[in-house]
Amino acid sequence: MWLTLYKRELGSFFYTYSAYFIFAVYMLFSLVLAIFAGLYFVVDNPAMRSYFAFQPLMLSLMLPAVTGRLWAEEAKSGTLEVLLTLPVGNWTLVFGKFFAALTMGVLMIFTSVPLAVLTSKIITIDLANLASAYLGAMLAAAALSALGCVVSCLIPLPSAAYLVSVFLGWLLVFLNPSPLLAPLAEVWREMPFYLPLAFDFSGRYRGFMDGYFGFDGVFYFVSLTAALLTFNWVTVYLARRGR
Amino acid sequence: MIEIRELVKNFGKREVLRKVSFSAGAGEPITLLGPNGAGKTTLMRIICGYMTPDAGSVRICGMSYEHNRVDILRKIGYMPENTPLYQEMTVFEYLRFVAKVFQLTEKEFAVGVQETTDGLGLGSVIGQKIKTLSKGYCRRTGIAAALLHRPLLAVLDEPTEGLDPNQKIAVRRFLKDYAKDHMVLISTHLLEEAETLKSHVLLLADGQIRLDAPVARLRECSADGTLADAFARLTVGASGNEKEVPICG
Repeated sequence: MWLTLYKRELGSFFYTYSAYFIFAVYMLFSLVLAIFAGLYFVVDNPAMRSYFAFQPLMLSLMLPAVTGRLWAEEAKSGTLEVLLTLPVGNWTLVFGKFFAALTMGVLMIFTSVPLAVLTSKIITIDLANLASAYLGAMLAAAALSALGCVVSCLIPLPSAAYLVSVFLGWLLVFLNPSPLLAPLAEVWREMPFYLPLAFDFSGRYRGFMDGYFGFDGVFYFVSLTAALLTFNWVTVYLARRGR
Repeated sequence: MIEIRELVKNFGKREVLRKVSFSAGAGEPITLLGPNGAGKTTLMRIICGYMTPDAGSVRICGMSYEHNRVDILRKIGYMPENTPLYQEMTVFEYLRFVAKVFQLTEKEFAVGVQETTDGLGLGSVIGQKIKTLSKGYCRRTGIAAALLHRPLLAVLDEPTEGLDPNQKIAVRRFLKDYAKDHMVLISTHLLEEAETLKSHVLLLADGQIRLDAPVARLRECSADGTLADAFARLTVGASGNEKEVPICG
């Protein structure tokens, strides 16, 4: 059932050509950052590190353009009333929207394929490391898509939902949890040293970029996404029951 | 069978529905009449599960939203006010989308599309994008989508609003036929609609049911034999009118 909603959602992105515009902007800015800030063609890049280093920034900036309209646009156009009175469960609605956003995120990441092909013609690619980097980017996209879905459900204005999603996305990606957990460490002297790392989005992502394909990293992103989707489920539940 | 008991809904301090109760079954359309702000749309939204009442209960075929939400929604076809539709789809794509959500088989879908498009005159625009349709065709597409799965209860908020006279006649004929073996609840402020459909009237004013009777009974409430006069007499006081509310029905 969620597949029906997923297809409709995805179709609406491509109908307005907004999807193509988003892909074009994403590809252009990612390349600019990789080449000029990451010195892509100057340093050795067997796993496209200079490219993937900027992906959390790009995803947190561009995915909200997709997720911002998911629920908010439905509320604005009035179709939310139709959607919420369809005989489908809350998870069906959440999954339909989330996977549509994730598909867009994955497609954004895969706009780098031409660059990967070009790189492989110039140097020898570290395929295992590159696959790990792609996986990390996709997992990061999943978490940021879920975050965007929650925000879009809470804020019924697409532009406001975009801005809040970007802000919260940047907090999630760039906020180092170590200083935040420092007061806790003073009280809880036996606090495991790895606890701050456990909540470090960038640190986890760097692991994938460096070719460290650990299940703890996968677990981190999957559990973060699951937690955010559960929150999204709660917001949909409240929207259906609490009006 | 739909049973509404002591329904209360407040928006802040404003009482929109005040202990509304009624019950109805299949056989004749039910027209929900009332002045603007009477609470018609709110009542419909509660019946369709879009809003939750502050007090009271809604039972449809013996089921309540607390325990059988998805089962109830499967039995309802709802067209909200202003007919919100997915603009990027064609009429056919939209109907197929609705059919998939309601898990209709290919055969059920084909029969549903045939019946609704024939009955509502949508055949000529079936392949057209909704975005390009006139208001009348959008309205009829909304009705078709609401009735595609042949719901036991069709809830339509102002289904003939914006239609030309010929379209109104066609839509009313279609709904009257449909109501023979299904429940059809229509919200409208057009008095002629209630009469043409020979419907049962629920007259809502100031959040209360002022009349729950066949349309013929509504006419009896007038001094000059017109529905407009009956409506005016029954809804006085609803918009701050100083007159007393007459007893009728």
